[in-house]
Amino acid sequence: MLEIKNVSKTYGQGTAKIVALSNVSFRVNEGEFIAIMGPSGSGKSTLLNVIGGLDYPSSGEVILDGKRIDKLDENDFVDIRRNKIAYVFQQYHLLPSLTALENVMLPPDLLWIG
Amino acid sequence: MVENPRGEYLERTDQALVGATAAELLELNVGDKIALNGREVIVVGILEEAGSNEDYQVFLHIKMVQEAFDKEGLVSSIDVRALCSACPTSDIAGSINGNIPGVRAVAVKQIAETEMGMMEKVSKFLLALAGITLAVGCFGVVNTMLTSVHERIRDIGIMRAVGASRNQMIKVFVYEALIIGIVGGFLGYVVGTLLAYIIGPLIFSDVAVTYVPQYFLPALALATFIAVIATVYPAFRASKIKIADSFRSL
Repeated sequence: MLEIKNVSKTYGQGTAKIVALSNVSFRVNEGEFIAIMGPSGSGKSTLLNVIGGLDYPSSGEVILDGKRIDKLDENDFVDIRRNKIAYVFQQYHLLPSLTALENVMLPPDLLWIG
Repeated sequence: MVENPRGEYLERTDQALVGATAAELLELNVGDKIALNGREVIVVGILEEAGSNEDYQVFLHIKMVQEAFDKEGLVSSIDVRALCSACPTSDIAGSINGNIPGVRAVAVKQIAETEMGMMEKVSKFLLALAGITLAVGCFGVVNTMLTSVHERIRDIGIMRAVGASRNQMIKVFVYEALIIGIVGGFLGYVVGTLLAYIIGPLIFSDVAVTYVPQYFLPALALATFIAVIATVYPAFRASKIKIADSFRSL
């Protein structure tokens, strides 16, 4: 189960301050399939980055399976990225120096290398 | 005096003894004639190689040379040899200087010391030059590795997003630096040594380049060390970037 509580994310400071997420709250139950929709620049990617642990929220809580993950230490987050949350990028973000197969094999490889 | 294995010793004014190297360079043999300011002398002997200046010299009767060059009664230098093993040559030089006005005597040992001192200075200077070159090279390596890591910030982000830990990312770059350092160090060593053999004789004529195999491992180790050091810092910094930022940066 994934729970998002009052998550905000701002970039920059002062006059250059941009509010990407403002007090977002929702809950995704196990087995649920949801889509987040909105116009360009509405903060969809920022929200997913925060959930996926690629970025930290400015305030609020992200709770995954009963555990807060929004303030996790980098090393603990590695575990979540490896075992719990998968992220398919809009631009795919493949490593150009690897073959397609090697790109697919990368996550398990990283697990074995340790 | 020098051994004289071929031919005979100087007996007449029209005879000459030739040092081993001089004979080789001038292609002279016993019986050959040398023209000298309108006069002619015959080579009567080739001296054995002595490893000193004498190898490059031609010895003639003093009277003959003085007449040929209109310097009768004059000499430019005299070698004085003391027949004792432990006597201070500088004392002898000093007493010659004190007793014969207009003459300057210098102990050979002193000349040798002065020359050695010069050689030492030259080699220190070359060492300093090599040190500066090395430092500049190090900066080049650091710069290249910095750029190389920076160019791959997005790749680092991707790998971290699919589950690579910070340490894994640093390891990737350290291993790469190890390979580059070892290969680069080896190539640099080979090319550098070859260049020393090619350029060395052009600058210092007739000086043999000595190959010192003991320098191989330190050279390799230093190259690898620098490559790794130059990589660890930017890799460490790159691994700290937030993943989302690494995608945005490009």
